[in-house]
Amino acid sequence: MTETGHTTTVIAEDATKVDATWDGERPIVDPGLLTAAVGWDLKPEGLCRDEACIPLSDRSALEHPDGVDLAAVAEALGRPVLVDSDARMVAVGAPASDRQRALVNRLAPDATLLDLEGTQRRLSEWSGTRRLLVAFSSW
Amino acid sequence: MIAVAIDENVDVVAPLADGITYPVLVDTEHRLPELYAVNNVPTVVWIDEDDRIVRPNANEFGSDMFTEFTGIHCEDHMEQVRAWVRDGTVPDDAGYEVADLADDEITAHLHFRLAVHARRAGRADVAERHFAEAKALAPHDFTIVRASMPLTGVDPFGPAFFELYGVFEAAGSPYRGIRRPRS
Repeated sequence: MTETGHTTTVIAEDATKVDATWDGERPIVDPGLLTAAVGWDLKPEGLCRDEACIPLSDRSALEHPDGVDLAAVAEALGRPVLVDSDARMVAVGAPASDRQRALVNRLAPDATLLDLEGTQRRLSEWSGTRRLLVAFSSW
Repeated sequence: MIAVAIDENVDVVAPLADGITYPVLVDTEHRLPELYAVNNVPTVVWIDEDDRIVRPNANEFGSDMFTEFTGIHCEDHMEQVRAWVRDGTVPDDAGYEVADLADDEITAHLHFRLAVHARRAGRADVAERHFAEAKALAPHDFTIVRASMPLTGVDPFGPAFFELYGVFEAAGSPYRGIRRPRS
C-alpha cells in the first residue's frame, strides 16, 4: 500500500527531514530532494555530485511512479542503508570503499565533525601536519 | 593532536575539554567507527603531513590513570611519538592491519545512529528498539554497547561496564587495532 506525504527523517551526513511516499518498505522521494538527503542528484548520466557521475547499471531499481527510491539510491552509491518504515526513518552509512581507503590504502579518510561551538569542521583542515587523531569519549 | 569524542552531543563533551588547547571535535554520527573501524576508546591513529596513516588504530592512553587495570604506561607511547616527530622513526607494530567491519557491525552502527536521532526527537520506543538491535549485532563494540549505556539510563562506569568487559574478554578481546603489551 502506498502512503503519501509522510515526513521522513533521513540520517546520512546530517539528519534531514524530507517528504516521502512510502510503498511498503520503500521510501520514495521527489528526485529534487535527493541532493539534500544524500548529497547526490539523479541525472540522465547517473547519480551525480558536482562534476562526478556514477553510471547506473539498473536505473529501473531506483525509479518509482511517485519519484525515486531513496534506499535504492543509497545502495547504488555503495552505501549501507537501514529503513524503519514504521518510524519513517532511514539511516545511510559510509561506503565500504571509504573505509578501505583507511584500512587497506592507509590514507586518512576525511570526515565532517562538530567542534565545541557546534560548527561543522573537516578533519582535512589539519592536513599538512603530523598529527595524532585521538578517539575518546565521555562514557 | 586532534581529539574526537565519540558522543551524542557537544554538551556532554564540553566539560571534558575545559582548559584543553588542542582541537576537540565531537563525532555524533559514528564517522570514526565507520571510516576507521574504531571500536573502543581511547584509540590513537598517527597521520602524517600527506594524510597517510603511519600507524593505525592503537589503544594508547594520555595518562597512567588506568595503568593498574590495563598494564599500559602512557610514557612508552609518548616516547615513540617523540621519535616519530623528531626523525620519522615508526615502531615495529606500525604495519598492523586493522580488520574490516563485518556486515552485522556496519548495520549495528546504522541502528545506533537511528536510535540516537529517535531519542533526540523524543521517540523513546523507537530509540530503545534500535539500541537493542545495535547491541545484539555488535556485542563487543564499545562505541555501541558502552556508548548506549548513558543513553538508556545505565551507568557506563557501573556493573554493566564490567559485564561488557567480561563478554569482551571471553570473546578474545576483539579490539580493532594495536594493543600494547603490559609492561
